[in-house]
Amino acid sequence: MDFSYTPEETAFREEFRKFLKEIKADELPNRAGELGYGFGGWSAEFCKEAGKRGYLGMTWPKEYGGKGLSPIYLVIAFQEGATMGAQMEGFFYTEAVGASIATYGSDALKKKFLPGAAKGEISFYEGLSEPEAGTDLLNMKTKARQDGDNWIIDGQKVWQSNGAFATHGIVACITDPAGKRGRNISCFIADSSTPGVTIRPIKEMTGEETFVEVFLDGVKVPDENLVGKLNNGFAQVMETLIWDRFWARLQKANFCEYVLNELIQFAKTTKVGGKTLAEDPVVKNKLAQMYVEIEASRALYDRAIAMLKAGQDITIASCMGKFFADEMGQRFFTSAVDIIGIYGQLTPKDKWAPLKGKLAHLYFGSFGLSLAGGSSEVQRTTIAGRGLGLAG
Amino acid sequence: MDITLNEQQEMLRKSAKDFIANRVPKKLVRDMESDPKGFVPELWQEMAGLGWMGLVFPEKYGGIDFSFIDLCVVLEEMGRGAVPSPFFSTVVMAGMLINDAGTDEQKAAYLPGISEGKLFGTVAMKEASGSYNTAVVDTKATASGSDYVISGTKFFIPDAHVANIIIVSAKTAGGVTLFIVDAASPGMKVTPMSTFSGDKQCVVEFNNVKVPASAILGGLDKGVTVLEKFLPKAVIAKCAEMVGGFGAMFDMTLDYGKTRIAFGKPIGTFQALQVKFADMLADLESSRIMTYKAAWRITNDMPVDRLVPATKTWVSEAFRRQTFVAHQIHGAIGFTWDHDLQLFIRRAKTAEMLLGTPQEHRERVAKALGL
Repeated sequence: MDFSYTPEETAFREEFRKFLKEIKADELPNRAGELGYGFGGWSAEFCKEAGKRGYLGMTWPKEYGGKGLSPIYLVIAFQEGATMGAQMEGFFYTEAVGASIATYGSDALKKKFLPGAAKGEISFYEGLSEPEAGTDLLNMKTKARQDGDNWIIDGQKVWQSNGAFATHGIVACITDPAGKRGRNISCFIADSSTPGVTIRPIKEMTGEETFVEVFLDGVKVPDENLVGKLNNGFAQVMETLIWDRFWARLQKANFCEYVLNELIQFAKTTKVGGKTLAEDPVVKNKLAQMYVEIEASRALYDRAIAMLKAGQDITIASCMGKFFADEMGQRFFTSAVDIIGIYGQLTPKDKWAPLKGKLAHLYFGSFGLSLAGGSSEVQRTTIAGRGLGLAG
Repeated sequence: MDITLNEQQEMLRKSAKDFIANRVPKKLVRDMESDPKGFVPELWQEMAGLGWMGLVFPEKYGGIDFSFIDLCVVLEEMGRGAVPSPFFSTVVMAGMLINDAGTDEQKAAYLPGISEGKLFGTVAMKEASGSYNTAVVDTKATASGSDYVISGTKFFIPDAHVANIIIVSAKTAGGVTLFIVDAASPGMKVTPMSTFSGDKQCVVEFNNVKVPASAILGGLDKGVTVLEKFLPKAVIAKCAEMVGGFGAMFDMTLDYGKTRIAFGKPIGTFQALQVKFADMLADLESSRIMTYKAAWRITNDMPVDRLVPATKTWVSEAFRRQTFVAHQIHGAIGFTWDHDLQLFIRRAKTAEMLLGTPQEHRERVAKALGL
């Protein structure tokens, strides 16, 4: 039993924290704000800075621009980013899709994309969901047909996080229309500047445009951009869901604690009827409970991180962490908005908005997170079915 | 990051688990609820023989000098088996408090007896208000020559009916002071209370009980400081016990979900119940990790002013919340006295109240957050 990180890991934590402060990673311009994952909004500047210092693709092999480090270093980077509210969403998706390429891609594919991605010059969106293929991903309609040395993609993807800023996407397509469900899908890297690619932002209930839909009309992709084996795409996608369940939620506790600290400052300095909010027992109680639940969420990821380090399968541990973190976040931001009361309505544009108006945004954002990357229901039925032997 | 038990802890766990499975059947657990003593002395001696009583005490006082985490491993198993015994009051409370705050003479006087299973003890903090606040003390200790005279009434004192020594907090001229009191002293009266878990919590009255100054534990007027430093251990030890009970309840419920057939299928395979199982597992695993993380931090002398009250709040509320779910999954059979489930449902509620309610611990979290 040891909840500490190694001296090398701790030294890296300090170093990365220093880097984040130096580049003011929380203040970098970003097109759309943090939805509540904890990895911030999309900032191309962050990717470039991280690339310059060698923090992108740390876990990839050295020959492809990486450092061959243990995944724990990436865990630490995300924890530290969330602790200060850094704008790391672009970094996140580069890591996620880069990992797919590093794991499944051919040598040529790795050479083509990973070194550029590690420099922050190439970035990716994930093209999985479609209008009729969300939880039932296998119901996708986007097709790719072979045409000489190329593949021609036709179809539509939706819910790409900040897909408008990525230079490339990984796009899952049906490559064998007559094939067996689940054995007929392949993944390709598609360049967003290729003719036939149309990217349209989706305006969400937060009022922002965080996600996009991607239309692909006769988009030509060279054969070498196939990721992994033909018709094995679904198995690859299932494995990479770990990015949603683990890597996109492990920092939730750090992020909520960062917001909690701001709220505590607000409660200490805001007076109502001659008394600070911090003196109000109801407010104190809410803030304490928010902290309790942050620790519970952190505990589930401590467990998953330790299992990752031990080389164990973290699927079930991550499913548990994900639905818990997402629902904890919904309770957290509900309480947070409650605490600031009627001012909770104000957006970042309003000069009277406490905490720069971020709470209302995070409150509405939290609705999306228990769906993004797999619904809470899928996590729970996976835990019961695969984890506990209760498959129906 | 490593959340596994080491080899020694695994052995300890297995030995505790096997011993409890063999020697503490649920019939005994039920019988002891109505037994005036509340435990079986022969079993107590066997547990002492396994080294549990002196587990965390130094070798020179008859212990085996294991770590606090090791103790939590044993407590988890005791919670899993709902073992009726004054272990918590004697070893975790009185023993560890003396080991933490006692003089060499005090340690030499009491710890060997505890380690051998011959001496029983408890700690008397709470009074009529039921408050967990260590400074809320009306019991008085008045200096009289080189002695002190203690008067007052303590409530909810675990296992005081069998204790040989009772560590009592009392108001002194400059604060609160702890005294180690011989339970056979003239002027003491112990009356068991009637609790729904059948555990033995007592009212302890001190009527002009005379103790020498050498009975002071941890320094004159230092009682609150000493207790506040000590209590995180007691709280996390209680959490370890709860995690064990929670685990037993989960296993029992999962087994029922797999074997109870309705509409031609095991009931646990219905989605409505799958969802409940996933939630229960998340509550259990978060409780376990928080508990051991706090135990690890305590063992390594790291700050726990936020984590410990957060852990007690989370673990006791999660366990209690899931008792309803476990009961729901069991259906009506779980409502019967004969079914083992109710043993854990009652103990979960008891543990939630002991050593600070969730609300009292939330107040401590708020304080630690600077509120």
